[in-house]
Amino acid sequence: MQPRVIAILLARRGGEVLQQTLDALVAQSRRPDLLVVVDAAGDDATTAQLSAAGPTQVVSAGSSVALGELVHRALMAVPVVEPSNSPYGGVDEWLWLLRHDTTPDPRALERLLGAVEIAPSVAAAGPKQLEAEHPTVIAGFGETMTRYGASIALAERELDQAQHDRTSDVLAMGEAGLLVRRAAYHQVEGFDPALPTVDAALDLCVRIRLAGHRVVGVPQARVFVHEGTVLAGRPGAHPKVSQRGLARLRRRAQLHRRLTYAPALAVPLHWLSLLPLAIVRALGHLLRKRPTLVGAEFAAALSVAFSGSSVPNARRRLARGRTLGWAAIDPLRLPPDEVRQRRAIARDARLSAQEDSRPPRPAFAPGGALVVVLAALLGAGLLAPLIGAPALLGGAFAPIAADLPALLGALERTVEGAADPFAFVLALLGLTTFWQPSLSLVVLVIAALPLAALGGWWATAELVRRPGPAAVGAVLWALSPALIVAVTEGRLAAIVAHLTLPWLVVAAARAGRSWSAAGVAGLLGAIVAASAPSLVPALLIAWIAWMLVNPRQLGRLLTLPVPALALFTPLVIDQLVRGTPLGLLADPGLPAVAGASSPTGLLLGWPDLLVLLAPLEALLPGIGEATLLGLPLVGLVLALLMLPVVALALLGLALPDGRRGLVPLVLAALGLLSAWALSGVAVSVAGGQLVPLDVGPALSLMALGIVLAAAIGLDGLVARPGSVPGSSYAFVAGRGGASRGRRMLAAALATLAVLAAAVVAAPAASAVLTGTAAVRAGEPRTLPALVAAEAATDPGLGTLVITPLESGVAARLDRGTGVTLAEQRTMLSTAVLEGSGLPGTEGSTSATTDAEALAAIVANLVAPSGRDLTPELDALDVRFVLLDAPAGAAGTAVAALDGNAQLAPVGDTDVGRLYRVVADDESRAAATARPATTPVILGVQLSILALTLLLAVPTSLRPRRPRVDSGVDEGPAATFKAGDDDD
Amino acid sequence: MTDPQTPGTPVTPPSPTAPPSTPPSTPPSTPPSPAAPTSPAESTLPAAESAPKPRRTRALLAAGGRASLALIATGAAAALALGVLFVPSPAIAPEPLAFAVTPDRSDQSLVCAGAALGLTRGDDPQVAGIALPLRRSAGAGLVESTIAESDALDGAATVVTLPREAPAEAVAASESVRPTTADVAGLAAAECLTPARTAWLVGGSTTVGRSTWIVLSNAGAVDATVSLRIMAENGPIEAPGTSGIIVAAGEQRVLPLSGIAVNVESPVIEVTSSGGSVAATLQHTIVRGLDPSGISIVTPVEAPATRHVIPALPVINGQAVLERSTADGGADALTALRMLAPGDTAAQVTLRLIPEGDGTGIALTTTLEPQTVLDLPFTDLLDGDYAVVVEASEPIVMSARTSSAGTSGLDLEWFTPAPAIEPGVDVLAAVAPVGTGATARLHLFAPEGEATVTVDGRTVVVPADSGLVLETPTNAAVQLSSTAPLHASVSYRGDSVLAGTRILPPPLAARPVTVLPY
Repeated sequence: MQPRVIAILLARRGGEVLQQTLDALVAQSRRPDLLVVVDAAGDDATTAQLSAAGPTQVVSAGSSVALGELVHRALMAVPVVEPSNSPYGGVDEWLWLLRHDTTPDPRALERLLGAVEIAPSVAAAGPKQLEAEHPTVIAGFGETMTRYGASIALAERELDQAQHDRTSDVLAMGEAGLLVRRAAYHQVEGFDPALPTVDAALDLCVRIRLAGHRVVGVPQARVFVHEGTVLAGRPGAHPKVSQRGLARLRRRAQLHRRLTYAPALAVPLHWLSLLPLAIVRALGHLLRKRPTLVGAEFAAALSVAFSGSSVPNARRRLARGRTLGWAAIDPLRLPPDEVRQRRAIARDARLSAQEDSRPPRPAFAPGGALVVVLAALLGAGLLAPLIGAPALLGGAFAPIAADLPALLGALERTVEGAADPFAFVLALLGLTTFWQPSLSLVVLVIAALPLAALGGWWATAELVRRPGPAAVGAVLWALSPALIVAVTEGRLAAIVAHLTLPWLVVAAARAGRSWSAAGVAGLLGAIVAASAPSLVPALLIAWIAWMLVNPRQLGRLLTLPVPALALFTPLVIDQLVRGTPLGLLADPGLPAVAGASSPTGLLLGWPDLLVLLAPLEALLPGIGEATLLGLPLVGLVLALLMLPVVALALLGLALPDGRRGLVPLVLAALGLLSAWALSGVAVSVAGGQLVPLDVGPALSLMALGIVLAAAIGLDGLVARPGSVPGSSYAFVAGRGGASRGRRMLAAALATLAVLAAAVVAAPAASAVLTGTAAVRAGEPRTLPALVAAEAATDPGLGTLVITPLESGVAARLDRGTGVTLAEQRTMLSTAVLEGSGLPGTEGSTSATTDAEALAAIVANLVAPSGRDLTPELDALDVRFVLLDAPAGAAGTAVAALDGNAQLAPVGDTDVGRLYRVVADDESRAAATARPATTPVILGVQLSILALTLLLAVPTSLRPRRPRVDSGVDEGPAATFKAGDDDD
Repeated sequence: MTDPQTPGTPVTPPSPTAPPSTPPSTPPSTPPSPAAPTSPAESTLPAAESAPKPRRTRALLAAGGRASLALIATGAAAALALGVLFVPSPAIAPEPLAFAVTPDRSDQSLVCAGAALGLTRGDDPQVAGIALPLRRSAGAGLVESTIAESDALDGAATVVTLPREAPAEAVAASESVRPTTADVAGLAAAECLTPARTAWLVGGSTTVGRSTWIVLSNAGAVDATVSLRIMAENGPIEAPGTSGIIVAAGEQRVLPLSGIAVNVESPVIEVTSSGGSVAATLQHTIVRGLDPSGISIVTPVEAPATRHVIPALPVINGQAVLERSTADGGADALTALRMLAPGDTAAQVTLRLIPEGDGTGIALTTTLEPQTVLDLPFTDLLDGDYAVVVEASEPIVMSARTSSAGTSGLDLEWFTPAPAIEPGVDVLAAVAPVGTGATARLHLFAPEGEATVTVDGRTVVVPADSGLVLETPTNAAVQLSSTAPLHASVSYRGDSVLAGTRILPPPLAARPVTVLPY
């Protein structure tokens, strides 16, 4: 039989590449008998170019027509030769499929024909595809499937060392330069229209195989590929395909083939599994730090699930052409062992690439470890009175929550408003000691110093090359005034923010380069923002600036605020709806009035200078705090003590490589500016007193910037020998010993800085030891033990806590064992903003009716009154009244309460004088119904956090090396791209 | 960022106190870095002496650039610091939520002193009421009741209650009693009291012929536990039975002071109750020789204060009193002030006796030893109505004692300081009925500036720091209001009788309470 070759050239664009292909066709040693050109470019230049090549037929098609349809139209133009009874045999028609980007070797067709002529059973033969730009690299040579149907290229991006030249029978060949017997092509009804590019040839070849023919690769025939299957299938002059798009196409093709190849009974099951599988695989993508592919996963699953008749059509097409069972192609599939091996190799390659890109850091041991251990000892020593306590009280400390359900319940949005984002931080904290949530607070406070040292080390080590400066940074960060004030005044949120900030800065610095770091930075950012909402403006500015500086990493950086947004959105909406956006700045946790900040204190990094001055006052009795504050001497001494650190921070800029100190210094400036801007703002009220915003977190940011810059300066001084350029030159004694002099200077400055930090921190840090701190060890309750005991069985039990003040009587209603941190809501503490007429607030004065009703009860309790309060107390489930005042200071309130026949005095307790409501009240008010949206909101929030966590967790940092024990002698030689094979 | 030396750097463990970059911790001989990627200046500078000139210049230029960057940063930091120090930060603060709630009216109860007390005759003498009081109550809708149980036979005090649903806003009541037994004679008057937690009874005596009864009345619904603390001319007196005195609801206890402190000339009794509140009064009677020589009911000072005002201290027939009293040697008929600084420090006291009209007063200064009662007698006071103003450096309690002499003998009276009536507050007062032969005078004193006072619709002007005396009918209700702080009292006088009642501001219950919800 005479072979008649119909070359079909599918041209989607013209130009140089097409010309090469056309020229190569002319240069073939065995010219095709017919040349059918399919003009899918749609521009005149290409049409002219094609016509100039003198094709047999020119067929025009739209640019978006799929591969199979293009071939089909070409074949329509060439009638099938009538079968002849000639004894010399009829004409054996072959199709040679070429794309505009596939330039065949001059002898490609000849060798392909040579291969098929000697083997009549072969119905398709493909050439070896080489990359046109690197003609020694194999672009593809044969395709196969795993046992589960995932397509795998037999060779891909390998250096051609003739390692595949013994390959002959394959499951499938790529469509580039594929020679197909026309009869077989018609028998299997051509390409599947549902597979426009990816896997189209694989599917065709599989059906040809099932129709009883063979498919072979012909390594001697070569085709140079310019664009590749996917790109060549795209219309337009300069097509692009993103990683996302490619993944979607591949997944879509695989799912389509799965539904097509599956036994009829299994098809519904496969169809039902589409979406669950997509979800599982999406989670897998997150774990593998490929969040961009999540959308593609769902798009592919949905497009296959609702692809109309394409799957039934494909199944019918397959059934009509099939003559053999699936077992016929089993030997040609890739064995599972080899699949595993390939995956392992790919993972290794990926990890080693990651590890290569990781910048070197100073080793943690022994320097950093020693600092952390010393900080732990110091912290345990300074906070010794707190060790062993079940809870901490005083300042803004309170028990975290009575129990686990209360802790988790605090995450929900109630009718009072959205939960604070800080509730999630508290839940995280409290879950670590789930049997007694308040215990975690004790642990955190005692461990605050070593944790801060660890964070300080981690952040500093990211920026310096020596362990010395990193250790100095760790010490300075652990001894920051902001941390010490937060500990002694019981500002939990500020402690959390201080401990988290260095990790956030490190993660954010790397976030642009790695999805894992972006996830970590997002979560840490959410923690910091939740703990210190007043820091959010500074963080936003830093974030925007960082994006402007790194525009190329915009994609990952843009995702940083997502977890924080998830936490804040309900609160933001609630505050906006109420018309009190200023309330968003409120510090979470217990509103407690602490010492006010002063400009001098801000500059020196002290949120509350009184914490520092109170011990001094004890040393120098007779000098009042006010006098000390007013003394410029104190400020001067403190400023002098701070000078070495600041000098180091600024000096760093003058040293070589010192420009990296700019970012920390900008952070420091941001922190100082925020602290200044916040220092005069109060948005909540506690017991009739204004609660100013805590400037501690802002000062933490400032301190972090200065510490990092100082460490960089120190590093610059130590790291490079040689004479000192610039301003630091003057400090060096003697030109001859310049290098030694610099080291001496560095050592002196570092010693000074550390000593000064220790001296400044010492009085305040020892406040807990000396008992002058607000923080104290306590029981996990704020109400008397009697109330706590009753509340154990009756958590809805109410206690009216009345505190006589100069300006009136403060009152609040506690439930259960008393105030807990988890139940605090800034929506409540900032309710005072409503109608206050402050800028940004709206609404008229609308005193909340609850508060007014409570006020009426309290007024009638603390003054002689003829009102029968029993029904009102019952309605609020108030069983106890606590007069929170030292004996003798309560004034007329005691008389009124004592003289009230509706109350029975229980006695003076550790927290005040307690009364029991005489009348029995067994009925408890039903819990207020939660808004219907509560579970939805919480679910969405938790899902976003969980997904970010998946993205953040480092996966297989040290993978198990796969054991190669199979006797495969022809294993893949080099790197593979990560396969898309799964399930 | 990459520094090839780092891995090989010998590291000594840094410590938090000694900086890790002290010389031993840095490599003793750091080889020059072969790679200085970011700064070409560095690799050339070690050989700067012999380096070609252009490279050296370039290095210097780079160094200069860095130096100027550092200088700019320093300048910016300094500017920022100055800005923070001197630019005021924005101040935003809401007004704390505060509700001024007027408590519901309660039943306002005033507890009157009750009958004059004496001992029954016989072998087993008992405390008994020996003369029933006359009472004037003012206030529409008030209800009078009697305390259910009393230690004294027939002596139970009357409680004047203004129920909360009564039409009137205020209530006032005063009682007078005029016993004429062989032991007790004279006129005593007392305003009815709002029960309180603390009371300082300044008066009484337990020397021979003097008897002092402490009357504790609990008109409320809650039992009260009362403690007494007694201080006298020689300091505090420790005595058993002064604490844990239970005055049950609706009960009146009568305690003889002589049972606690015998032969005390100048006692001051602090009454503290917990639980319910009590009304505490003290009855002081004197028998000179065999003649009953006066009765007084002492109403309490609420709390120690640095300033006390007694609007009226009448000195009547001073010469006769002096003569009569010296007859039996007792000095306690003299006009005197009793003062006590109950705190731990001595008090400097300035006292002024300001006569009504334009007479000359007395001003003197003295020192009160802590917790020691001082009786300060005045022997040469001219007759007249004096206002007493006492100012002390420490909180004190005080009271004034005087006697009047008449045809039928002496009568004793203690005048307790009257609390200030705030401007604009309507005060209802009751002038006690005192029977025939006695008149009443209303005394007004404005210590802080001229006050225009409306008395039952009549407007009078009380000059600053001066007293004004108005005749007033007895057994009457008086409505008062003033434009400046005012102290007011009523004195009752007749032949051989003298008594006084105070005019008290309305109790605190009527005032709004500021409640600050969380």
